[in-house]
Amino acid sequence: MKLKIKSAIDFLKKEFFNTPVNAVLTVLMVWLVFKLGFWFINWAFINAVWTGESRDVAQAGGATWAFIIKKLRFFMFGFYPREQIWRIPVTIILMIFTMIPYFIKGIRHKVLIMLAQMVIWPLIIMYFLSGGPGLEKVSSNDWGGLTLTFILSVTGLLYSFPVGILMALGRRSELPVIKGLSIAYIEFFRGIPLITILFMSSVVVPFFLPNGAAVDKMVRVIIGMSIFQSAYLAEVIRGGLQSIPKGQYEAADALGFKFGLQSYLIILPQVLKLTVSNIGGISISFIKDTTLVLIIGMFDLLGIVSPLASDTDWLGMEPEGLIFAGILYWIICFAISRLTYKVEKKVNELPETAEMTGVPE
Amino acid sequence: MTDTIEKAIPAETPAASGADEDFIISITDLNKWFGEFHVLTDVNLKVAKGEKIVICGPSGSGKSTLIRCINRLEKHQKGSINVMGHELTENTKDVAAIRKEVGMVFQSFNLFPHLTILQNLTLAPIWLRKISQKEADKLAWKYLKRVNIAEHAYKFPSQLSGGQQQRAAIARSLCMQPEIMLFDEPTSALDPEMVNEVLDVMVTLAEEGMTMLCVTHEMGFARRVADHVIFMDEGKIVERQVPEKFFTEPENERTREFLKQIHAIS
Repeated sequence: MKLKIKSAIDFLKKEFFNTPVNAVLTVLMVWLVFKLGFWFINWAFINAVWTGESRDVAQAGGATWAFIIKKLRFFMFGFYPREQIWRIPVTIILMIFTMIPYFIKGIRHKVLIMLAQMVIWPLIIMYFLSGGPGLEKVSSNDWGGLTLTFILSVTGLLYSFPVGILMALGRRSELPVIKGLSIAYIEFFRGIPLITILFMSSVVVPFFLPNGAAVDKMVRVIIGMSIFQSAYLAEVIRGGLQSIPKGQYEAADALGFKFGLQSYLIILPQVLKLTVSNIGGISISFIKDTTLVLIIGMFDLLGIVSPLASDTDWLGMEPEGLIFAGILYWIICFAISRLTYKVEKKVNELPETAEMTGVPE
Repeated sequence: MTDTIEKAIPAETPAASGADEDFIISITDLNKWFGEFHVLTDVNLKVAKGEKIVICGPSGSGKSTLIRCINRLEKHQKGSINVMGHELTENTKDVAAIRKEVGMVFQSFNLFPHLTILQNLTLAPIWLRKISQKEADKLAWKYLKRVNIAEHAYKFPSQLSGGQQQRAAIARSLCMQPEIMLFDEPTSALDPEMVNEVLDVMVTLAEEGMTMLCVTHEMGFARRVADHVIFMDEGKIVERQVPEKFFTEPENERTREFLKQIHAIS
């Protein structure tokens, strides 16, 4: 025990107090950490107010979490009509159900599931969120909060994936036209900021649509964001394509596989394994980038803070709102980051050698 | 000048290919450049069905490039390659027809690392020959047993030794039931103690009557199996001989030099 304390003191001396300057810096930093820590704990917990009907309950030097609790519905579902809110969890649960086939072992071609989702998801969203026969219409302008962030993220990622893969393959094509178009697409959309694409899709595109052919802003935004994301994805996948040894392409060629089957059966499975972590990384960036839609007047999880804090009952509650939104974003992104890490580990370890069923006679 | 050479090559008339019917591969005046580098110069090679040919020569002599031209892993710029009546052209149909008949084994095995050995073998038959999973499995087991790695069928390539991987690669090619097998230095990347297990498989294959073109420096293999040994240097076929003569009294000075260097002269 004594030895432990002694070695701890030695460690401190060596690492933190080895020169006078370091000693001063150490003391200063410890003081700062404690000071800020105490202040934050006081603000967030000790002096915080958890219940109340308006900002009048606020205490000096304390957070008013009552604001978050009171407005939680708006953070989650935006301005979706209260009595229709049940439709949102139904939508999300149905979308999750479409993920089940991915885990069924008997299904060989998981890409078909993704293609099916590309059709089914918008139908689910259109019917349950927008409304249709038997369900009241809800304008997509009223979608907001975490729901909007979710819809934008998952649909954007879903559509960007196949497009990104096609563009990456196209960029390596031997046909000059396809190669040229792919390069133009990737370089053009990587070269302009997402905000520009969002403004284009929300303001400029409607001018060019023929009269009467109105496309919902939500659809335009999702298309714009998918295009943007697919260009980045294409570059990540291209990097993976380049790291596949030439011998793999040659062996596939020699067996007689042509470009399409070769890519699908031999090259892409290896590429996706290699690029899991990068794809996870740009997906996280993409989810964070969805916050930019607040600039074109959509109220996603971040964008909704400001209108909520303009409520005359809750004026000046931006700090609480922003911190709450930040925490939610962090949880989402951290979860995806961990998931990516797990998937990466799983695909890179050899799959368990299949049950040895013996050598048939 | 180039025009005259091109005109000198007989046009791809049916008559021309008909005349070569005895030969399963006929290469006429083949020329290939890598940029400025003239890697193959006026190569002529005819291979009869069932013939086994070993190609040797110093590195950079174009021997690998020559056999890679046969299944279009490399494009040739001049001359003609005719495999089983299919003229090798830009046309992807011809390329596909030829690749169907020609199996290839590489120096670096090139098994697909994300698939088990069994899946490596059945992938092409299922997708390209369109046979059922069951039939493909049956076919695969047959060849796995023949190359003696049936007990590794459910493993992944990275779990196998080099020699085992190369035997699996040979089996993978055989599963497409090719008429011709090309071997591009199949034992060069192997540890010495694994060379023989691969050569044994190749000998068996030869004994079964497969047409084989093999780039290798394994002169023992050449003596035992080859009908003809070809010596290449600087992109040209310098000498083509039956093995007995090739190893004892080669005609060409360069061949003698080369054999001396690899201590194969007897």
